[in-house]
Amino acid sequence: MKTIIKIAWRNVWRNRLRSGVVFGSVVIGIWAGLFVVAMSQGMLAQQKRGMLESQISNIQIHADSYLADPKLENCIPPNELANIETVIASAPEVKHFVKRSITMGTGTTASGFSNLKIMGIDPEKEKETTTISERLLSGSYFTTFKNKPVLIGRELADELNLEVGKSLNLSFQNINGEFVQAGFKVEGIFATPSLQYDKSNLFILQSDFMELVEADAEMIHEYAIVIDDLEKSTAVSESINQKINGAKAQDWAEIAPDISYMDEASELGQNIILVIIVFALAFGIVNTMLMAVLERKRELGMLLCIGMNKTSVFLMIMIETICLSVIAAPIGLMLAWGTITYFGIVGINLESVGDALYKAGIDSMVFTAIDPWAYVTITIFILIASIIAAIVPARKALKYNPAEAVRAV
Amino acid sequence: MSVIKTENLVKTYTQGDYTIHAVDDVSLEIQKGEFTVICGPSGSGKTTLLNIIGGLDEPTSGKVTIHGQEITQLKGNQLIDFRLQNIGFVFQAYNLIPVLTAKENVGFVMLLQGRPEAERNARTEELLKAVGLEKEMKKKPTQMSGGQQQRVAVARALASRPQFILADEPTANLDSASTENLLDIMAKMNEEEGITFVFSTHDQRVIDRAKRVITVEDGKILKDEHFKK
Amino acid sequence: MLLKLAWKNIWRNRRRTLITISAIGFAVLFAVMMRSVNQGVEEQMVKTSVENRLGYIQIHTQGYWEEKAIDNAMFADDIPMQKIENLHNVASIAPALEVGMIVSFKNNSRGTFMSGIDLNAEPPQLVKNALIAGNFPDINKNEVLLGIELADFIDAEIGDTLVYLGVGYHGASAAGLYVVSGLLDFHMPELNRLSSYVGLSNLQELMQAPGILTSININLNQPKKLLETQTAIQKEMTNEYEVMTWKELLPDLEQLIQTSIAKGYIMNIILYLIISFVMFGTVLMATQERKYEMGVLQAIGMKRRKAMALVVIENVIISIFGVIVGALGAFPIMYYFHTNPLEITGEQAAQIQEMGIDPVIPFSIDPMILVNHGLVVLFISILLILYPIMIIRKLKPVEAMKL
Repeated sequence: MKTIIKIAWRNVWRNRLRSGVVFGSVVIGIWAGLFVVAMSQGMLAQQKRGMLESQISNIQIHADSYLADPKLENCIPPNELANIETVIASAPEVKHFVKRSITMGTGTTASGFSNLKIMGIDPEKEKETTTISERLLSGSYFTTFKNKPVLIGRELADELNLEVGKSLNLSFQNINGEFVQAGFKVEGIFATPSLQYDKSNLFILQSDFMELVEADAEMIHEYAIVIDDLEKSTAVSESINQKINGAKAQDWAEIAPDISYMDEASELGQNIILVIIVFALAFGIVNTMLMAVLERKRELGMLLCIGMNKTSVFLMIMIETICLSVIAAPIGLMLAWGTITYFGIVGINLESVGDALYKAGIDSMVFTAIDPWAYVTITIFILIASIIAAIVPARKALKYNPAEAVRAV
Repeated sequence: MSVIKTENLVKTYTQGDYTIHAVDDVSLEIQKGEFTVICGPSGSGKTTLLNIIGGLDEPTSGKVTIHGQEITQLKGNQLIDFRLQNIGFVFQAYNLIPVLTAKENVGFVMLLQGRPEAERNARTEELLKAVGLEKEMKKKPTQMSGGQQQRVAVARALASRPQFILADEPTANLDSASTENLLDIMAKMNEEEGITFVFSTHDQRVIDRAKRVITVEDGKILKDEHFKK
Repeated sequence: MLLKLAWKNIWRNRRRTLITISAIGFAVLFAVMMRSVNQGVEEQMVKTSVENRLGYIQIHTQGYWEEKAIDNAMFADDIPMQKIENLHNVASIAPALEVGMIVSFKNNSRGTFMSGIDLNAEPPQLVKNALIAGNFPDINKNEVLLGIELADFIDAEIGDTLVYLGVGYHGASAAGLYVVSGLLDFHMPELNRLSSYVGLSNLQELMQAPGILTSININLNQPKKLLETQTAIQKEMTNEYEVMTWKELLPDLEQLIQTSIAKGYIMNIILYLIISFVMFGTVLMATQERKYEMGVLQAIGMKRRKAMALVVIENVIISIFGVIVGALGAFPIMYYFHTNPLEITGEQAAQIQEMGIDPVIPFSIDPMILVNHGLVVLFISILLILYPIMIIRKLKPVEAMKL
């Protein structure tokens, strides 16, 4: 066995051109596999982070009745608020939290109307918890207008033909079920990664909210909580649930199942591409090694003549490919690590590749990012593929008739 | 007991409408210690005969017995193993393993036989000395002349202590000095150690040295002459 | 002469020819598959949002799109419907009327888009498929179909009478009582929240303007020829009207698709890197194998230039052959996955459906994919001929003929 490995190893060095081709295929295969995954994961992570940071946070608490029917009267029972806030504040994982009052209403301008989720917020707290304050395309964050300011999304602004300083008529029901109408001034226009969100959500001051719905006690419909580690969301929400009454904490995956769907869909797409890459790579290896085996027909025939058995000949050819793959793997990995790290910082501008008409925003930049485990799994995947690819040519060698092979030129 | 015995050996090929009798009812016996040349023009069937004797090719009918074992009964890896233990090969184009040194090439067959390292080293050195290559032990085939390579091939063929050595046109690619040198070595081994050699050739220099010359034509034995040397 | 020799060479070493052809063929296959999946998904996105809802092209009065007020609407009699319908590439033409109104029931009120459907004709596929309970409105009665989320919100069921309030043509008041005749589930939250459907003539009467339309939605036979058709339609219309394509109507979708195309573009570049490498490996091995033969040709007096020409001719023939073989091999696979798309199963499937998309990954059978990627592979493979040419330039016959 040692000698077989030795011969195989020296064969690797004998025909450097050929070895270079197999070696290069594996290097590029590993690099390409990892880079493709990093690109899709990067895009996904960016979108996910954007949505969590700007809208959903990690955990939300609502009244049980609100979850069944999101109406104004279904707020968290006022006598529970103190307890809930103590529970949230005392959880060591919690970094920031914010409370909101919410109702459904309709926004109208001369250009049309839109059904909206109206959120009354405390601007200072909101700023700590979500990134809405950083996502303003124009205008300011509750600093300019004293009288009924409103922050609206880009899509809503387009739809209702609104600009900063223009006024938007909001109508919704107060606690007595009567319709109230009020004119608000557009203070700022924000853009989150979700167009849908930007179309149907807006922020006003909590004090304005309370005044318009004519509430006598504080009406809170939602707590949004940011914790130190996204992965702990489920655990923290469960532990909160054990200590509160009349309301329920949910983690982000429960609140926005479409985000976890994005995860899966992107993984599926990425896997299809991986399979195509692996097939292309395996095909290259089969091709090159097959030529190598055909070219060395005489040498392999001689080995069979002088008494090397078929298993050993098979192993020898396999080991040649394995040697090449094993050396190529770390180089491919390093190349991948280097480019993924580089584009993780600098980013790839999709605008420069496609002739797209992008709106201003972050969407055209992709920052590569990858789960460190992918380095291991994809490398193993590619190595297995390259070894399987080596079987075809090695089997071909076994079919040689030694008497003919030894005479072949 | 004879080393090689063939009985009514027939090998036919069909090519289109023609049937070619490459070997046509050949029965022959070769005894231990013989220095035999099978000669004949190109296409006479001598190589096919040699291949069948060497267990590289199967006869259409008839049987080959080597040292009491009927090799026409053996299959696949059994046959490969039989060759390893009983037959040494020397080829026209040397066919050394290009990536191994002279020493490693000779040692390789013993390694396949599973001999211990000490024995391998001793025998390799002894054999390379016998073929006059003790100084070239560390060279690879590409660094040696054709004559030197063929002497390594002879040493390799001997290394497994085979029953006999089959040499298919071993001198065809060599100049006359190398040919003489190679033949001297083989004749000497035949004389001193009684090693059996079977050649196929049409090289007169080889035929001149043989103790027995079997002439083949159209797959049949035309003449079988013994010479005293 | 050279051509004949090249042709014979190709046939003489069939093994090498086959390996090279297969390398090029598979290159085409892989590249085509990759684009086919991506484009398939993009086409599906367009189809779900465009074909069933807006149409690929819409005609409005100038200014309606900026300010969707009923006063900016048009009248059917002013539009050369027949002429447009007869235009090449126009598959169907549907007059549409959609107005914003407030719907109230009991104490609940909600904004809604009320759309008119022509009850004398075959109802649109979208609405027909969405009807989960009840019937289409009776043409002689004030009946309405309601999106299920809207129905939930105002607590209305089939048989309930709803109040619709809005502004009619030229400020006329538009108010009507409608009985819910059926519920609609589009699997699209936005539509479920906002839709009310009534008979078209009924809605026109409510607006106090018979024949009024907000848009004319046009579907195409060949969605690719969008711009040509837009121009052709615009020619039939006066300047009072604007003709918009779905790309202008739904810039977000267009942006999404452009992002997908750009991402796919990078993926394809990466794939081409591998493909080029595989093809280079094949050319490299084939060239090494032929050094001896080339040495012989030069030894017997063939000029280098001719030897190069020979190799070029051989490789071009093989490349063209390989590309054709690859394209022919790729098409059935594309076609198979087009008619039997990969299915997404389980929990995800339900969620995708909720977003209004079929939970399948279809492949595109756009023949341009074959042409484009076939040409790219052909280009790469012809570029790679430079390698054997370089080798021949440096070839010394005596050395090449040594084994």
